[in-house]
Amino acid sequence: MTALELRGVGKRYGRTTAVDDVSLSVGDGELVALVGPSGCGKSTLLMLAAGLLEPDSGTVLVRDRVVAGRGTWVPPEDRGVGVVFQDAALFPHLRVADNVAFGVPRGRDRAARVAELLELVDLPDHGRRYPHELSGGQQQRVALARALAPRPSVVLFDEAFGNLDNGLRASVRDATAAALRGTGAAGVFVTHDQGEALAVGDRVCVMREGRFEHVGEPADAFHRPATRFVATLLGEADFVPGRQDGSTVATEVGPLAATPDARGEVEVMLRPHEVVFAADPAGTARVLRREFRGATYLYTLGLPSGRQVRALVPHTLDVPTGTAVTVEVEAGHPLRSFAR
Amino acid sequence: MSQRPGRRASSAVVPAAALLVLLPVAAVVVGVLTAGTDPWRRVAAAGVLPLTGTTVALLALVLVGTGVLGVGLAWLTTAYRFPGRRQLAWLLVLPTAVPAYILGLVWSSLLSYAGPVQSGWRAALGPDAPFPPVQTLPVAAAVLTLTLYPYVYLLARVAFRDSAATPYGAARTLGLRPLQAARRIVLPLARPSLAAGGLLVALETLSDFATVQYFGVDTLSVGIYKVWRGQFDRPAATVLALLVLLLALALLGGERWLRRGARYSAPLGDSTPMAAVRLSGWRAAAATGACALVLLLAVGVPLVTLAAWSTTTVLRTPDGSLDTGLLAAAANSVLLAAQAALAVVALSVLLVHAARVDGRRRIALGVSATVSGYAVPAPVLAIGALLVLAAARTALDALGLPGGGGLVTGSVTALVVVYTARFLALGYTSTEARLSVVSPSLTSAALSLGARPRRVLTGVHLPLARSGLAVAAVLVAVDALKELPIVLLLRPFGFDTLAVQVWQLAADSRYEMAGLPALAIVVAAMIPVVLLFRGEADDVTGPHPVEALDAADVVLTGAVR
Repeated sequence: MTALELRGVGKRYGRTTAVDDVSLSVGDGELVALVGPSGCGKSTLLMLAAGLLEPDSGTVLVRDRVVAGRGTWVPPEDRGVGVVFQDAALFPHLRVADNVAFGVPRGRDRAARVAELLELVDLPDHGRRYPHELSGGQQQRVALARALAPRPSVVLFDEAFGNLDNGLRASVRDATAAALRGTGAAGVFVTHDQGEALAVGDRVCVMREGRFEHVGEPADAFHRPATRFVATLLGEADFVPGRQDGSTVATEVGPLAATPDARGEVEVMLRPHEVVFAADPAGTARVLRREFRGATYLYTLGLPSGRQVRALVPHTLDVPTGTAVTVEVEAGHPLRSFAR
Repeated sequence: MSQRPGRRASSAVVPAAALLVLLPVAAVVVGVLTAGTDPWRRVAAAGVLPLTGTTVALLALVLVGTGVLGVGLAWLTTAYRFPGRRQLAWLLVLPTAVPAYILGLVWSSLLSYAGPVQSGWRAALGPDAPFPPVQTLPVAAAVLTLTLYPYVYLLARVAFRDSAATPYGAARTLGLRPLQAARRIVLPLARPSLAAGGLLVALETLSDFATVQYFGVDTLSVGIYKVWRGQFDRPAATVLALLVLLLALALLGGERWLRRGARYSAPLGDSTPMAAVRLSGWRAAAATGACALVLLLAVGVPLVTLAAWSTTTVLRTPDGSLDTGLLAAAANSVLLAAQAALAVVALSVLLVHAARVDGRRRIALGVSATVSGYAVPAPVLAIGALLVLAAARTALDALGLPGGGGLVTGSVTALVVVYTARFLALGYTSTEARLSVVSPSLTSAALSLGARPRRVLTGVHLPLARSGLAVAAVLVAVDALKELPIVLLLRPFGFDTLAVQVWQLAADSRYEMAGLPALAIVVAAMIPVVLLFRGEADDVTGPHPVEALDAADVVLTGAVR
């Protein structure tokens, strides 16, 4: 059974197309990360799924039931879709426990359910506090507890960790993913942070100008991106021109093993961690710049053609700028090539 | 959060402005304290208890009416989609351009025995068909409601949009129906804004003594007018003014109480628009119809009626000669409004500048005292000013200097000064809103570069805020044009403005003659409303509507934040 399914969903604001013919199927318990630059339509897509916006075209299904489209409209309160908003959107006039209890029907086990969820998000003693008495990370966890309380089949996260600072963010995010997996609910995370998308999602959807450019597993998206846009969005990437024959590309850094995605004049994608180099007086490449990154150095190397590639190497490799070097590629897998 | 450069403003403008507002209020209090019991006896004889009772009843009716209408329409236009919603959402602010004394004039004429409504009634149901009485408190309250509800409407819309949209969406995803979510989440969150809107409505109601008189409703403010203009009994008028002031303070306290515990304010900013429910069929028609009906009663009917009256009397007196009185009144109105606008904006610029450059506490206090002038009902301000002028006359006479007499019988200069006090809150808040585009760090940067405060004003603040100041000036000028209570109480004999003419012609039941001056006021008052609100209906990107409308809602919304 699918927890959430979008079929050809579209949404326009005046003349701007925010979401353009998007399809996606999220399985039970699956975590999907939706990543893209700001304004690409990813938040709009979430609101369409939640029922807080109405699509202009296409169909939305929750647990295989049509909730929007084909002349049907199920309002948000009847969809069984939870939402965690960027600013948490806790009800400021209600205590934490009342916030969590908000979507739970009145009954005997209501208090027990609230206690259970506060336990789940590791805030068992905070029920009597008001939202403004909590830190940002705590508010976000209460928002998650509140969204999970009515047992939704899918929870949508709209940049839910964007307001937290970096250290806190990873821990809240991981706690959230763990809590979600504990309940069996599916999750869709909207984020503009590629690291977050790759770390959390079972699958990653890369969105650009209202469309999906790539849908797939994180490692696949990182190593075999569908487009150059996806390649650069998910991490640092350089492109080296060459001529592909079968699964080999002849380039100025030597023959490279590539995926048979293209042939003839191509560009091969190189991630900095795949590039290695060594000082060599006979080398044709030069060290142009380097950037200290703590455990590593990011070197920018100039190739004979004038192209530049970056190499991410351990900080122990200390080569001054201007040094002549030879460049090699050690990817451990065929490289993605794009037709030129 | 704003940085407070440690510079001292050299001018005395802040205490001077504060005195402008505080002095009349103090004069009323001192006047009552020193007058003994005599005026109280006369006030009691004039029926102070029924006057107070009527005032409270009127306040209650108008508050309920504007609350229902303002919140209802704001909710309808925010949470639902129906044909014409975008246009109606801003058009519904338009009734604020029709002053109560003009709306009341139109409706009391239309509903009078000889008017079209009762004539049609008799034609349909026979000559003796009973018609409910028109000269009543509820009808007066209905008229005030129709012109004052935009205060509540606007503040409610801002609250719904800025602080309630996301929580509303969250409540919906947690299983609440729209109306349930409105009751449990939106209304509690909007309570501070609604209290502020209600306070504005109540203060305007308290200031009014023209509209209610069309409907034979005697309030405390009517009492002030009658006692002063009818019997020239200044001590008794002062006592009544004190009672009005006390009522205003009680209302202020009530508003504070309703805002208690409003420590939680949902964050402003990039809120997702409220998930509006699309209405269809008869529901959509009913929603459009309800908005249109309000607009028809509050704007459409008055405009058409005034236009029809105007065509029969264009600039002609009954005997056919050119109506020079009307032209003179128009000139007086424009001159008075222009002088008041200039004075208010100039003073506001100096105040805003002082508050920015000089962060000392006493400056902030002085500024908030000045801005609190919005809470002083117009009749109180007028009577207080009268007392101050009388004291000035006594002083001048004692010194043997000429010119004292003119002060008390009223002078245009005195009018401009009192107008300035009355509209300073509006001027200050809109000027400050305009100047807020100049970030405090710019001020600090200029000061750190060695610029003296005057150069910061002329070299940085003014050039950046110039167009905004024009808007502030227009807002003040239009309010001054509409102002009636102050000019009625303080005008020199024979000094007419358009508003005074409307009032006098209406008092004589010469409705048609009032058409042209009333139409001129309404059309002028519509200009800023249209300029500021058209296109605001776009819930996502519109400018903050608080900049517009009248003085105090800007003040209050500022306080609400």
